[in-house]
Amino acid sequence: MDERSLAALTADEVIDCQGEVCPYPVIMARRALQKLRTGQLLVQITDHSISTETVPEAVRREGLAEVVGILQERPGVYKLYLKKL
Amino acid sequence: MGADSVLLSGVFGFAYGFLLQKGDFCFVSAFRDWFSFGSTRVLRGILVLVAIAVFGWGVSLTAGWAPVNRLWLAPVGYNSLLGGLIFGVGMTIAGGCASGTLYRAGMGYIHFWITLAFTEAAYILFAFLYQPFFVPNWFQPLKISGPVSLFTAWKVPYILTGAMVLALIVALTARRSGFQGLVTGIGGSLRELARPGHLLTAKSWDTRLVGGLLGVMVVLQFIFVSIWGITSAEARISALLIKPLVGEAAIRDNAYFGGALFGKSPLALGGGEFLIIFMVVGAFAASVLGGTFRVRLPRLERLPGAAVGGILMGLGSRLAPGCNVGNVVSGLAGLSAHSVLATAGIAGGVLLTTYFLFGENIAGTRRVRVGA
Repeated sequence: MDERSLAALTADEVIDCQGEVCPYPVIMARRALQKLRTGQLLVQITDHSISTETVPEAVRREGLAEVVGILQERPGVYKLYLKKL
Repeated sequence: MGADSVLLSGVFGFAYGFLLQKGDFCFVSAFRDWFSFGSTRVLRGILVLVAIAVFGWGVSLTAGWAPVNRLWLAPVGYNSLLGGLIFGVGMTIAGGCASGTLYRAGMGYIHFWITLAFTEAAYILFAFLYQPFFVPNWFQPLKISGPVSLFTAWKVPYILTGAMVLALIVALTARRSGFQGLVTGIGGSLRELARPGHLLTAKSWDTRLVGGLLGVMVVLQFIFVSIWGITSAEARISALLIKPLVGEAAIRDNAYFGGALFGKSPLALGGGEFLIIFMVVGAFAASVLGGTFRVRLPRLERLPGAAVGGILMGLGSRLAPGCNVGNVVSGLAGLSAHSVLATAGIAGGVLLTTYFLFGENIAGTRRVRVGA
């Protein structure tokens, strides 16, 4: 999904994880996804660059969410779009 | 060490910092993500790095490009394992290892500057307890033998030993991924090189490519300068930081700082110190080019972790001795028995902390408690 389409999506839940380092972004994504219903969208905001690799891989491998896309909001800040499975 | 070697060390440091940042090559992530959700993203990069370094060092030793006493071989002891364990616990609590702390400091993480400050404080604490406490109560009773390396333990040419270890790693990888998977993996990791214009500005590179490039740098550094290490240089910097307070004589008289670390060298920044300083500079350059630099303010509730993790890394790296780079990279590449034990300790420390402190699932278990 391109950046404009991602930005147009409406989140069911937004978690701001700026300032957090590993393993908290993965733990917080898991906890937020567990509270959502199938098909709902979680947007996670993070400035921990490696979380753009670890969070998608963790939720994918654990069958928790589909990774819709990743948007770089500004230098070093990312939005991860995760759809609960 | 001459001025040329100091300059060269700075160049290697810049390259290491640049590459580590580009791969987000975090050794905590390598072990924790494997245990936690089965991801081998960074672990594969480390395997490529060690495979290339072992073979390259074997070739270099056989060709006479580097003397065998350039291998970093510490005595073998239970302290190798236990020190590694303390270091592994520390780096998991801090959220970054010795090299991870440096490359993230260059990316603008205040969290890791705090970790670094507490690591430096731990070196000073260790240095003043070394002779009166740690030598009689830690190093002497826990020692098993002197240094042991597979390179020197048997009468096989170095190049052959290196080739055998390389073949073993390739065979294990092929067994896990299949021959086709191995070929696809190599192709995939090299694909980014086909877009040189995109390379510098890319947010991140394939970890296997980064591992391979780090491996080449480790071999070149071994030939031209020395081995890649971090924490001994950091400890020397801690001595230089307190020198204005305690005086040069106190540093010289200290059994650890004066005896073990500096010896007869001048109490000044040398090649090893320039290497780690330029690792931070290299990571800064890579993150600015890739658009990932940002002054990142930490959360107040995470500061105890940054501090405690830093202290445990400082102590663990002295008590083993060696950090993730000294042991997992340079030690394993030198086929050192001490570093095999220390690496096992580091991995064990990550596993225990991940499971018991962070309450994370361990891949293959059904534990579901999730805490923050």
